[in-house]
Amino acid sequence: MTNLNPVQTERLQERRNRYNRPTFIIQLVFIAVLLTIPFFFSSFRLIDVVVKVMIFTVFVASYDLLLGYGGLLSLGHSMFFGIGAYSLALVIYHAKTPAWTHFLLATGISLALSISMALVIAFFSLRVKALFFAMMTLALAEFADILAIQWYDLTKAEDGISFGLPGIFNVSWSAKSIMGAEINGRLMTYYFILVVSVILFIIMLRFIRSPVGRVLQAVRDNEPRATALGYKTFHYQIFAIVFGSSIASLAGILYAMWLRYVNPGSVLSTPIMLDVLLMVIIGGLGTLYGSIIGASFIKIAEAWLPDLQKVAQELLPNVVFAQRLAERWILYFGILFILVVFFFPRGFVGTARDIIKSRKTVAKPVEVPHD
Amino acid sequence: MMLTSSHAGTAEPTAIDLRKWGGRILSIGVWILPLIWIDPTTYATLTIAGLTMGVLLFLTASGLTVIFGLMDVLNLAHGAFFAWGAYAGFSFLNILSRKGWLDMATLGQSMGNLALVLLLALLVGGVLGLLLERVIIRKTYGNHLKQILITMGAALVMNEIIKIFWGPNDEALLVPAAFQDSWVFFNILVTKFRGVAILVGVLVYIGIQLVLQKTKLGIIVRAGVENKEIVQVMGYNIQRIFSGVFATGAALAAVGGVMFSIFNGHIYPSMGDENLIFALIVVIIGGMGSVTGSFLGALMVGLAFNYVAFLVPKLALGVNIMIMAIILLIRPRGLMGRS
Amino acid sequence: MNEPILSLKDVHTHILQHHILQGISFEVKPGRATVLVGRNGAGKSTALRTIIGLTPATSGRIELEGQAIQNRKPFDIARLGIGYVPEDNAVLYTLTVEENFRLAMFKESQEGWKRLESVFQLFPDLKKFLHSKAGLLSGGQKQMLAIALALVLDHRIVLIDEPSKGLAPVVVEHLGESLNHIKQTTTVVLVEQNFYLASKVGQDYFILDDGKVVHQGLMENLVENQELKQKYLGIA
Repeated sequence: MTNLNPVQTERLQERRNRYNRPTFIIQLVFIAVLLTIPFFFSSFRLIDVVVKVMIFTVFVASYDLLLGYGGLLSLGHSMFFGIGAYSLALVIYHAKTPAWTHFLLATGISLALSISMALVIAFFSLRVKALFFAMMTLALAEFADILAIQWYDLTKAEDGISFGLPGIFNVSWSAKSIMGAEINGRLMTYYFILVVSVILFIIMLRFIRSPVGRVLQAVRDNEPRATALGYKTFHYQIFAIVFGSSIASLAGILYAMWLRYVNPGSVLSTPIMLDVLLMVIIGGLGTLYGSIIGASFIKIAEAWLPDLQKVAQELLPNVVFAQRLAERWILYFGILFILVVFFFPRGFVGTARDIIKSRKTVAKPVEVPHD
Repeated sequence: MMLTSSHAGTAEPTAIDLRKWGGRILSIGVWILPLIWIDPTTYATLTIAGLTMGVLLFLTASGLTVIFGLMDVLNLAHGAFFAWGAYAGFSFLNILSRKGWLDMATLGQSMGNLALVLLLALLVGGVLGLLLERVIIRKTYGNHLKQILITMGAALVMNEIIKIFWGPNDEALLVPAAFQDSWVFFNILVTKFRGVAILVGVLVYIGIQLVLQKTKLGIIVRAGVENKEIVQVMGYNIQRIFSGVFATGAALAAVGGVMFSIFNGHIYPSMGDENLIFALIVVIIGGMGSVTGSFLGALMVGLAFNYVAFLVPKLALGVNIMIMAIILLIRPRGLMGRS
Repeated sequence: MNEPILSLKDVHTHILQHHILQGISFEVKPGRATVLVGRNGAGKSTALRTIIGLTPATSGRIELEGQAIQNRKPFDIARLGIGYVPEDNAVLYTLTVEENFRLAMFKESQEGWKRLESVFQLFPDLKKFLHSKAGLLSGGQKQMLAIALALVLDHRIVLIDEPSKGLAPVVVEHLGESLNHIKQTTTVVLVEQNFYLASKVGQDYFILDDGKVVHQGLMENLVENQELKQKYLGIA
């Protein structure tokens, strides 16, 4: 066997140990839990939250690829999510009866659209400074949103589009129950989304550890250096944007599958973008696992907030002001967001990793004595 | 012994034409092209509307551009000042209406009402600006990513607080009586308010230019935009100047908000964010740090929006994004920005 | 009067992770011209920037006539009477020459305008181009303006960073004469790579290397000392 250089030996080591590390066990347990939840809990609300967490994890992780790993601040990521969702909705809506081919068609259309938009955006990202890129993507996303709202003929605007899913995913489909859980369209949809989400997440994990992913991070950290080393940084940035945006579209398709209803407010607008930003910051930029934390936190909070509101209403039934205060939970998220950016800019997972790293450091660097 | 300016461009020969003339062609094109499709009377009405919108956009954009030029700060919460100005004005107009003042129908009296409302807006905007600068912006100097994220959060918080105080719905605005009338020139209907708005906008522009060019403060600010360090070593407390400029920008945005809400006749919580998008487009087109640039850019955006809204309504915002994209491609520093 | 007007004691300055000034100490005597010399990267410019507060010291003590100034903001330090002429961009190109002067004057006053008159004696060109944008001046004129801006106020001490950079020898000559004129009324601290100018103007010298003072003394002695000049200044 030829002598391997240090980098190659390390990677080989990494690959061999991949299935032994404790984190892998945790991942298996996690997936097992997700697989069996429907059999233990029949509460629809819980399943709903879990599905949303999964979909948004993928969505947020795709955004982290751009911002955390690529250093590219795009404020228009919600647009791709919306493109995916609307593709599925429109295809099925216009076909009147849902069929399997529609999935493929929708995926094809949304990917085609997303990739073209992503290329346009990527092209601009080279020409202008980071600031302008952010503004440009923001403006573009706003435009997409307004278009969706105003183009009634195409998108049915704020009314939205309701549709059904084909075959075993359809709400009316059902079979015998197994072990206390009803096998029906919802359940099947749940598993489909679970499988696809896990696959997409793994793809993203593999990506950031791949050579392409590593170069991307190098470009993020020090672009002139990467260029000097001979890498065409632009190509890597384009790839990251296209890749991340495509995954966001796929996440959008999944979301549409689950809701079976789309409208601009739920898949396209600024609130979605803000949600993603919040989740990615709380979870931690540059940490894919952070997206799980971020998505869970926000989606779980969102699910149980109506209960909180009810409590507030019961305590102070006639005070409109108090009710309004309780309703405006977005306000509290906003404040939380600001606080996190100030005090925990590395997010939950990022800060945790920092703490672990600082504990692992054995010797502190020697200080140059000066007296 | 005079040599050429040290800021001589280094464009290649073939690209010079586009870079030098592209901006001018675009600016003039916006005014003239629509005549191909629109008849003169409608054109005139649309032009007035476009100039009004432009001038109101300028109020927000001017603050944004000077703040960026001087402090190197990108404030995505600027739209919130706009909204707060509008809402404060809304409440104040309600008070005036209860007193019966709004029904006084002479132009002079309505303008008096307007002046009061604008004064309130200036105050509200200024105070909010000072607060925001002190509590949040100050901690983010030098870090654009943090600025963008934090100011987005601040904008969210400020908008939500509006919803708490005033509720989340669209509200109709009470307008001083005289403004509901119009003048008629050569068959063209000009709502009196639009005329007043254009006047106010132009006065603000002239006022800003006078301060910048003729006063010591203006010299300090212009110097600071170019080189903060020199200004500091000459003994000026640049932090105070920053706060002042930020507050002024916020105050102007608030005034823009009031005027805009009267122009449109109603207010809604997301008006700040919408205005911000336009203002950002204007600042990019006009050039960061240039007041004249944002004035010209704002007029261009306002006109383009109104012409296209008449011809192909759905593309109205799109056309401005297109203009912004073109400028970014051929002249990234904007019509009048420095490189 | 041999109390130092300015003194640095064991000053350290870090820029990001780089340790630029590594314990620098020197004293500037009033009424004399002090020159900081040394190779590129020795920390000369940083020393001036640390004194004026643009790149604050991370530790150590800086005193102006006994008053500690190491933690103050640049505008505070400037108001205490320290003038500073940076190495580059010492002049505001988009302002006219007159506006530059008005800015430098801080509070415009009769004395200010009188001092300006005497500055014009020293640099007549500047009066000629009073209403032109400073960016249109030639390199030499820009440098003259940069120094003139520091003279508009009655500073106790003026820090000048490499004024001769990029200037033709004739202009450097004129610069030297101007500086010699200035040092009669103001304490001058000069950072210079151009040894000719340094020796013509300077009376005391400090050689900086790797962020520390490695040698000091009277300029007249340094001029003779081939060994030092070769070792630290790269002059054959």
